[in-house]
Amino acid sequence: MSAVDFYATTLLVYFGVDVLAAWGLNLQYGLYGMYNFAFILFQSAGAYTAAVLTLGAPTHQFGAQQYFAGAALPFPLPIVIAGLVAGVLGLVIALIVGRGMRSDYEAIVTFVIAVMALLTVNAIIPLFDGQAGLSLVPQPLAGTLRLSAGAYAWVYVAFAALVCLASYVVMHRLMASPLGRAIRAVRENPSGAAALGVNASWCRVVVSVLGAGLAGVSGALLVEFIGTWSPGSWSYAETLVIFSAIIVGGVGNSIGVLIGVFVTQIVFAEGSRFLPTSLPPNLVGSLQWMIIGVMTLAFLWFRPQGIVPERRYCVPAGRDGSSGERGAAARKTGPVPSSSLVRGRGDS
Amino acid sequence: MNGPVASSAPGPILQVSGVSLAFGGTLAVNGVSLSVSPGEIVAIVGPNGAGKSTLVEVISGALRPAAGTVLFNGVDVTRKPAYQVARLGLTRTYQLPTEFRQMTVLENLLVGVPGQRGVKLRYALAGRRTWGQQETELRAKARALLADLGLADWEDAYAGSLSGGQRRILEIARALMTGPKLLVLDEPTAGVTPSIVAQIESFVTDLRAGGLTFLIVEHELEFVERQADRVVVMAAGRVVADGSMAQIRLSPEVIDAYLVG
Repeated sequence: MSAVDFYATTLLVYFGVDVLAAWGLNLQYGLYGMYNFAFILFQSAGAYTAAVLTLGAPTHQFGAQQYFAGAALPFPLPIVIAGLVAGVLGLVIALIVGRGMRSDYEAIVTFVIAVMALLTVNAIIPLFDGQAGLSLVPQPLAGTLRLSAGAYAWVYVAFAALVCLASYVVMHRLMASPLGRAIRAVRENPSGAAALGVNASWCRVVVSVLGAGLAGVSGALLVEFIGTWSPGSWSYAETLVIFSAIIVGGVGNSIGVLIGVFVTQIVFAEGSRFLPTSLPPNLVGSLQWMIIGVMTLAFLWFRPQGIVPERRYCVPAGRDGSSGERGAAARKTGPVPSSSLVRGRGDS
Repeated sequence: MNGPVASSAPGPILQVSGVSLAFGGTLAVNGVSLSVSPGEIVAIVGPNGAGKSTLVEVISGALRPAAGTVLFNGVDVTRKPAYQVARLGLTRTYQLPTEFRQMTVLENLLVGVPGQRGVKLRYALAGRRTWGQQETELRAKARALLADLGLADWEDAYAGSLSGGQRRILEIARALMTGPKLLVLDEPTAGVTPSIVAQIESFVTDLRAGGLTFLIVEHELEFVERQADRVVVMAAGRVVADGSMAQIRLSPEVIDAYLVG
């Protein structure tokens, strides 16, 4: 595989993985308004599940790696099960945190869960192999396809793109449906929604499971491609990067979130690799975090709706049988109010 | 105007018995009992801090009382969550409008419509073909209501961009779309212009003629006198009088409550 192929395919798979995860968090944060700082756990759990379900029984690895209940399931079962496991974990965390908790407490509790989970994973070596993590995860269908490394990588990119496309369709259907409308109503005003008969707990379960499931699949896609899983790569700080992508791209807008991932993860984070080599080596990594942090703050301050704001769910006159007399020009749309999630400067 | 669902229950549509609720040792509602009959407009009045809004919170399921029961249409709703109470047909509005700011006016109306296919996860994920037809019908119904309420031109506007009076009307419209049997209005005329008050009063008159039952918490006594069949006066968490406006005007407890607070 050429260096360009390697770089391009790795970048594209990472981009797809990040987009999937950001879409998952966007369901929870953008659509429902949940402040889940433990989100990275779902991606990590999906990645771990896919790894152990691909690696085979632990003894096959000559005792070099320790993990729980290994199996060698055929593709794409490890990825599907990874999504299910992460979805169940999402449900558990949704039930722990509960819907009655105020958003600031919810953020604190999920953050604590994320920290505890990372410490636990590092401490229980028989289950997770400690900080060493897992490696030598076989790439799916590599033996069957018998492609060159470069060709295989591009096929995997296409597969990741297909997964993203399918996920987009599912998400779009949910967000545009009356259920999506009910979920947004809970985000805007939980008491008002409940007074109209909306079951906020069920809405919470839906976004928790689907959002976590997407994250699980994204983690599985990554680990099946790069072949390694390490707890250190899934620290709680990674959740903040996904939040940044959503805030920059546009809270509640799937295309906006995709653009946000591109801007934060590809343009700025990846772009910093091309900084002059004369800089101190540790500075580049730190600069990535600083750039993402400053950019997030800048968007919260100057453009809280993000690059592509959440779409206005309205139907053009005549399209759904409404009167043609009332053309779109006659209808008032008014200014865009600030979001209940991210308010701009001067908003109360 | 959107037709409310007439109640078929022979007894009171709402029966509140001995309801009490304390916040940090202070009894906000203290052994309150009241009833509302089908088709009736009952107003709750009282000075600030009398416990009126807390009682509405209890009746609507937002708060659970420490003691007492709330029966709605013969069903004990004392321990039911707010969304279940709403689904039974008891819909309330808020003292401060709770519009969904980042959603259009039309969407605000559609949120609470009962029996929507697209609210079920399997239909939502199956796509618009499974719920689109019903959605089109509901949009037409919501547009007709918006036209009645003078908000037709604002259907695609974000609710957060409406004026205070328009938000108040939107709040009532949204509640009507749920097909309520009992509409509980918490200070519907507070902080709005006289023209909006007149508009709200006209809605109440029309809806009452259609058979809808109201429980209205209100400070504006002229509004209460014109609309209410019966007035419940609360002070310091208790009901101090219950009767017609003419009767309660003569009640020494009411005079005390308003003068002494």
